[in-house]
Amino acid sequence: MSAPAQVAERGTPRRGGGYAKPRKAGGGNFELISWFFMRLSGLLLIFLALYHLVWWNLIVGVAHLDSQVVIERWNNPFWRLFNVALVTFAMLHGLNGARYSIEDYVRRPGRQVAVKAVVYTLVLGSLLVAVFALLTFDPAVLVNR
Amino acid sequence: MKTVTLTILRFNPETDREAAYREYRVDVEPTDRVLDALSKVKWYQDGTLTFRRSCAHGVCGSDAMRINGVNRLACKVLMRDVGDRVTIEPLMGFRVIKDMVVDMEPFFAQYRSVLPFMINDSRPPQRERLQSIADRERFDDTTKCILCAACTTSCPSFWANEEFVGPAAIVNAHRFIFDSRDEAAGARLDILNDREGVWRCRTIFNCTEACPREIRITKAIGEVKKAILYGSTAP
Repeated sequence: MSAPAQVAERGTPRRGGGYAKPRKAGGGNFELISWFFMRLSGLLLIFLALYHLVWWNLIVGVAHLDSQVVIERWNNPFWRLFNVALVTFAMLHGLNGARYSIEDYVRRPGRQVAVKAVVYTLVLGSLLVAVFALLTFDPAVLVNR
Repeated sequence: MKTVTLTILRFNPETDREAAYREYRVDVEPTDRVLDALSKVKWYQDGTLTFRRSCAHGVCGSDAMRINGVNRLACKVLMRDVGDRVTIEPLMGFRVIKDMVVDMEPFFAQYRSVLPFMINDSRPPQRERLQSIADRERFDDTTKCILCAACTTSCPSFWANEEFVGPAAIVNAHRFIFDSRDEAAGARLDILNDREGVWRCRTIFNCTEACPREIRITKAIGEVKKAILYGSTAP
């Protein structure tokens, strides 16, 4: 079987039958991976963010939120990592969503690169600062103040 | 019989610089269709009104247009369901040739790009290629597509980027990807594993809402995404 030339615009008929794998327009599996990441991080964020919200606002309660509670949690490596996961997934999930919107609506290539550069720098820069602070900050500084 | 007002977005490239709304009052029965009302305008009031129609029974997909802001087939919408004031506009995202007639060529180019035909180079059996009921069921929904473009032109991702292959092409790829008699699922999945393929779908569900054949389009697109993720069309 061979298809009319104008039909096989992306898949090319092979000599002897079948269809050659069409060449990718670029990007490899990046879009697939980022789609899967959105599903995974979205699911994780439901639990991470919900727990964060319920713990601080309902269990501890806004009235009892003080530096002492923060210091206690910060001293526990598990909660440090919990917060690293929360901020990392939230920022990267949001960044990928922003990338979708930029690619949908900023159509001129040069402008798209410029907008992406600004957004990526801001988000990844903030994420870096947040993770650095979470992992290296010593809450004892607050106690000794 | 009652009188309704049709507000139609008119555009004639030979005389108009831009499209403009014009109002027409027509007498219709509640069981008349929007297509009947349009025909009354064309036959008795303004012969220059231009729209596509062919079977007029929801099968050929010629008369998809925006009726009160949503994509519908004019031959499947009854006047009693649209009120006394009806706004009629051409499909969004395509170049308007005249009035309701839009340039469908980009749509069909995207359709052709997903190899929407049976590909099986194995030696055919003595009789037909058999298929179980369960295997047929997997793509039953997507066989219903009539290529009216109501889904693709309701999709914000398509409005933003006409290079997006669009829901209709993905539906028609799905019809063959999940057909047990077809052998080119891999090629189609490769075609759709692209920034302008399934990944530009943002799961907005406009397509599912717009489909006059009630195809669960977003579900079909999700199945294609999963098949790409798992590298398999196995259930």
